[in-house]
Order: sequence, then structure tokens, then C-alpha cells
Amino acid sequence: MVRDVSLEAATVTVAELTARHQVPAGRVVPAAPVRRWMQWTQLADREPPARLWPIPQWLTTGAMYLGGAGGAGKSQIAQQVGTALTIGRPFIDAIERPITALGWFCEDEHNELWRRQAAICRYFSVGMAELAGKFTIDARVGLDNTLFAESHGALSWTTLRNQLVEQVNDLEADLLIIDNIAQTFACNENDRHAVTAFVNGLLGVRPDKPFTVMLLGHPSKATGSEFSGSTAWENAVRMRWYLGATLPDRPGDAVPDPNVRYLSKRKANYSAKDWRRFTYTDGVLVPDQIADGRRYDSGIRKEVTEAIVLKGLRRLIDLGIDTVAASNSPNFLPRRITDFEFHEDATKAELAAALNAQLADGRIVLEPVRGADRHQRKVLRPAGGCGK
Amino acid sequence: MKQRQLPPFAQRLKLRGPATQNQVIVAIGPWAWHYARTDGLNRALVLPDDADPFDLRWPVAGVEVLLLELGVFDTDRLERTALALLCDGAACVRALRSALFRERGFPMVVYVPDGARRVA
Repeated sequence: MVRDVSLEAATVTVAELTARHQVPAGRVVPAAPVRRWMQWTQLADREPPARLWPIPQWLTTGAMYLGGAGGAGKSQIAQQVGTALTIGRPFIDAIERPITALGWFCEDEHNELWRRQAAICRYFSVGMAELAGKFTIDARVGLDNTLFAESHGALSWTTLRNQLVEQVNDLEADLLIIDNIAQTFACNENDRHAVTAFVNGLLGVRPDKPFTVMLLGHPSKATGSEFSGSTAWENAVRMRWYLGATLPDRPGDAVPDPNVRYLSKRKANYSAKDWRRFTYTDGVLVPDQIADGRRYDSGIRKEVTEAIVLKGLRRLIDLGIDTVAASNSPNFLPRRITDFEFHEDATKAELAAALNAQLADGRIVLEPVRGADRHQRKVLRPAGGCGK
Repeated sequence: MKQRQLPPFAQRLKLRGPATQNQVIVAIGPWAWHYARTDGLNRALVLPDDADPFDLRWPVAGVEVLLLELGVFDTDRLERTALALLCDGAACVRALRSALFRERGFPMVVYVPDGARRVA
């Protein structure tokens, strides 16, 4: 009979080995497996803690992905978000309490980050020294930034992850910004497991603490792409933002304003989708505000577009141009507004929706007029006349 | 930090690809080189006699390793090698010692991460 030798094997654990042999400094001894079993009896009479939102409805704990084409301003917005969060100033939304952040910026040199930070500090009216110990930026251009790679066919973390773990825990960082994944993730971006293991492993950098990881990445070459590689880049994160010159759902039919950026919340596990518009001013992306101080967001955009339609209609009437509500007509109001470039950044589809809304509630009416050919047709007029 | 070198024959192991991940052998002792050279499956790595196992980068993450001690009986070195392999992520290290091949029951020692005693 063949004997199963493994049944007779003596088992020695790492703890027993380390008692007899010294592990060189800097080497990580494998830890005991962790069991995080839910303790139902202990939890039964208690309320779970509220979900933490460093930026309400926009940024929660866990992993998030910020995508955008090269030059869109991802690093800029990440640096601004990091600054706003650490000094507790509202930026994308209100910020309830300041947190500590660490940014690994692998694509911008020290002086570029410095220049950018100087502009950001001017915008927030805060001294750069106030960021010390709160927002730490590691300018890593030119360094090896590979955190996760394939070695002999197996996925593994590089020794650089140990440095990251040390930095995050020394600083007690609540937010980690990785700019960008192409620098740090050296596996196949189409490999669902590799992507998920990378994202999950980054969340373990600061275990048992509320921790947010912001990953910056580029889209693929395909038109309309918002990230590159496996869908795991979207599925493994709790939230995904996209920064672009136009709104992703509404690419727009006009040439985008080069100074305008839209930050869209494209995936949100615990909140509604939304977006913000920013204008690049004095080296920073400034969130657009409406006159009464409200933010320029999806709710307000509809209101603004309706105002553009009404204003455009009045200007066209002043020019002696009659417009109609028939979308196949050359005098269709949204088409005429766009032709005369009265549309600001609104798309034809948005203008048409705004026209329909105002026709429905009577702010714009159809008025019969007789043309030069003596045929009667219905043209658009503001309700209550053309007074300004 | 100094970059650790791969052990001898690691490139050959790499060429065999991911299918070999659960079949890595690490040979130590004076017969180790001969064993690795004649290993038809190209799955053996060698710890040179003059090298500290912690100075090498063992490509064994998540892998069960068979550690062969050939032509020598040095428990200290065997254990230190097993520890280095475990520190580089080996799932477990099963050690066979040529000096004990004639022993009754062909005894094997299994080195495992803490808390994994039951799965050894």
C-alpha cells in the first residue's frame, strides 16, 4: 500500500521559524490569515455607523476612479479636491470635516505641482504652509512607480507597496490619490481579476480605517470611451467620475469651450448621478456659480438653458427673424439660436427640450402671422409680448 | 533598497508559464545543481551554497513549493530557506531531505504561514 507521506508530516509555522531565525530588516513576514466574521450577537443591539462622505454624495470611502483624456485636467482636479478636503473648504460640494490626504503624482515634476498648488492656494485663499501634514504630495515623476505586476505568471505586489503602506499609515491618510494607474498597475488592464485584485489591495493599504482611494486613468482611443480596459475598472470601484470638455451623454454639436470642463459622476453606488461645470481661470478649475450663488449643476442647467432659449428668441425677433416650433423647418428656433451662436454651451437637443418645456407651460406661445406670400403660419413669441 | 536577484534557473521557470505555478521545486545542497540541470520538467530552482536565501527574490507567490535538501543535512539552512520562501509569498513549503530517504515513513516537514496549520 502506498502511504500518504503528507499525513505524517510535521508542520512548522512561520511564528516558530521566526523564533529561531532572524528575518532581514525590511522583509515582510507573512501574517496570520484574518477572519473577519460578522459577530451577529454583538452587532444585534447596535446601530451601524453612518456612511462617511468626504464630499457629500460625491466621494465616499472605498475606491473611486477619475477618468478623462490626457490634458483634460484630471491631475489638476485631483490636486484641487485634495486641497479642498484637507482644509475643509467647499469645492465640488460642501465638505463637512477636513481629512488628511496623500497624493502620488507620477506624471508631474516637482515644480509643476508647486506652480499648480500655488494657484490652488490663491483660489482657496490659504497659505501653502497650512497644508503641511494635511495634504502630502509625492512628486514621483522619473521614479519606478510599479505597485502591482505579473511575475512568473502570478500577480503580485512589488516592494514599492510597502513604501506606500508606510507613507499612508505614517501620515494617517484618509484619502490616497494615485495619478495614475498606467504608472502603478503593470498587469493587463483587460484582465478582470488583475484589476479587481489591484483595487482591492489598495484598499488594504490602510486596514480597518475609513479610507478612500482615488485612481486616475485615461480612456481608450474609441470615441465615447470613459475608461480603458476591463469593465472591472468600473465595477471594482464605488464611484466613477469623468472629466471632459463636454458632458459624456451630450457630446454637443458646437465646438466646446477650451476653458470649460465638466466633471460627471458616472457611477455612484450610494447616490444619484450628477455633474458640475468648471471654468479654467488663473490656473485653477473654478466651479461655475449662478448669480444668486447657487452651483452650476444638472438641476440648474435646465433652468439656464430655458433662459438661453427665451433670450435667443427675443434677440431673433429684434433681428426681424421669425422662428417656428417645427423641428424639420430651417427656422426651427434651436437651429436658429445655434446658427447665430446665441446658444452659449447648450446643445441643440437641450435647446429643443427647453423650448418644449416653455411651450408646454405657456412661457412661449405660437402666434399666427401672415407672411409675404399671404399664407398664415404660426411663429414663436414670448408670452406677454417681446418686452425685455 | 538593493534589488534582489532571481535564483538560478528562474528564467527557465518563467518560460514555462503560469501552468507551472503549483510545481516549483527549490533544491539546496551540493547535489542541487545536478538535480536542477537534469530536471526534465524545468521546474527546479537552486539556492547556491554561498548565497543567503533572503538575498534572492523567489518567484513563488501563492505557490506550493517542494524544498529538496540534497547531499547535506543542515536544519538551520533548510528552515531559513523555507522562511525566505514563505516571506516571498509561498503558500506552503514541503521539505524532503535526502539524508532521511532511508528513514521509515519518508518523513516530510511542512512549513506554513501562521494559522494555516490545518491545511498543511
